[in-house]
Amino acid sequence: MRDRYGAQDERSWKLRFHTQTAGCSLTWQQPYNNVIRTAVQAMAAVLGGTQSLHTNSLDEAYALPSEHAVTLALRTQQVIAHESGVTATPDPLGGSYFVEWLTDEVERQAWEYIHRIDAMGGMIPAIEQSFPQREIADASFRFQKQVESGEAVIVGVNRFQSEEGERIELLQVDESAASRQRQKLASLRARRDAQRVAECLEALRCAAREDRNTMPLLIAAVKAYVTVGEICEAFRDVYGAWTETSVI
Amino acid sequence: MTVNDNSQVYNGTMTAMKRSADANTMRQVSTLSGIPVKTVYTSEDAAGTLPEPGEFPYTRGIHRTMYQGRLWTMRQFSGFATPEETNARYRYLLSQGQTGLSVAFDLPTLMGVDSDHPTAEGEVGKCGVAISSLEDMETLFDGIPLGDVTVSMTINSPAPVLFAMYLAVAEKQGADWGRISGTLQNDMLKEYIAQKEYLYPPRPSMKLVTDVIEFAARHVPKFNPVSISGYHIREAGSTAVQELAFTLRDGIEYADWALARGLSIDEFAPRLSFFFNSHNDFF
Repeated sequence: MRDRYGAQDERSWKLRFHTQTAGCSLTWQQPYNNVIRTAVQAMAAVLGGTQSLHTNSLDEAYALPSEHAVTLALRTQQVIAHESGVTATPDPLGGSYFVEWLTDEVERQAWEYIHRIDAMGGMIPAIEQSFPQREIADASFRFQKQVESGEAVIVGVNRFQSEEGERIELLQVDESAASRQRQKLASLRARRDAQRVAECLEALRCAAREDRNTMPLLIAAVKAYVTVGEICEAFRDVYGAWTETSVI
Repeated sequence: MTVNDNSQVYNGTMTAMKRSADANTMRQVSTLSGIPVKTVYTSEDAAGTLPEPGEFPYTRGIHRTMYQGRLWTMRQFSGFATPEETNARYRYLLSQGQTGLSVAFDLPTLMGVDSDHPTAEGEVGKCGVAISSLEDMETLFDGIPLGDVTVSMTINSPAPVLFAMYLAVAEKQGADWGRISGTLQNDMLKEYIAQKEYLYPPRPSMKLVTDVIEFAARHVPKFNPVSISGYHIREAGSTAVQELAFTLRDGIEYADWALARGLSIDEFAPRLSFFFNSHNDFF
């Protein structure tokens, strides 16, 4: 921000970030292991200086978290914050030979990618040529191979498996939720001013065509109870849809 | 004992020795992201001097005192079934000491489809809360003062619509747009790169993202209009380097578009926020 864009405000130079522990690291097998994984990952996020954190619940490989599981995930953060001592001083790992070397190495490799994408004319041409998509697919394939060969260990999955399954209680989403939503929506569609809805949608199509900022019209439209689906449909009328070719 | 038996013992010992030698060479020699790791690191590997915490380029954190000054926000992503049920969960989480809300929307909402549309069948309220109209949004935040709580919303293609609803609810609650704070994910580039929940081609999507950035910079200055996300890139199987590089390059793209819109860099850059993944490899 400072060097590329000449930003003056110090707040522009700072990268504020939220972190979530890795959903893809959670396993179906031995679900309580996920509590440990999440705690380790959360600790790493805190040592990395995050401004905000979501810790995954142990049951998220199965379903949306139950109240019990989400409370345990929140407690994990509270233990790190109030008991572990890692918050006592800023960047307690600062100066670690390995951490500082790895930071520099990751930065160097990231710059290589950024320069390559700059050379392609920016991220949109890169996406149109499937460049980032292909790089990710290759990395994902390499990791999958390592898991299959046992070179990458996943506890409880490709090593230290156990015969007996652990049982956890899962959140049951009430099956009537969908029909209640449909009824509310039907009643809303009957009550609202249909003329006003049509006007709002036409105004949005015009703004999309004329390249004006759509936000003021969106606020007016939602206040007239135009729905998410109707608005997205109106934009699709103007912009068309997008499909991409598979990179695999 | 026969000669034959002896040779078996001998062979057994050799196999054990070979295995232990393998164990030494088979130790993890690279990070989860494939960066080779040496046996030992010394002062020669980290020769440069570090800035103080809170000093550019913020290698040691963006604040001088970091968590001594203020802890991070504990923000559990949640949402399920109807707005009524999710509203009850939010009230519970706030009562348990959670310090911010994070809305998970169901798949139809993420794809810009109403709950009563045929393609929504079977997915309503499954992976998050179903929001189709302002009425749903009012129920979702009923009794939750948007002037005091920060709310993060994980929504991308229909993000401008949900942001409009959020602002309308805040207004009805009497909360000043100048004071409300939170984060809209609104990161379309990573949808094309990794998550694949897009509706329109990349350029119109970028225009809508920029509409939100511009509007927020002028009217909702404490709201983060985009959360530039590496999380989904990593979830799609990338390395940590790819996650970082593609996310930062996405940030450059948003900045270029906002500048082309006529905003000055310091009008919007302080409110660009990021979202990363913390995976198993501790470092």
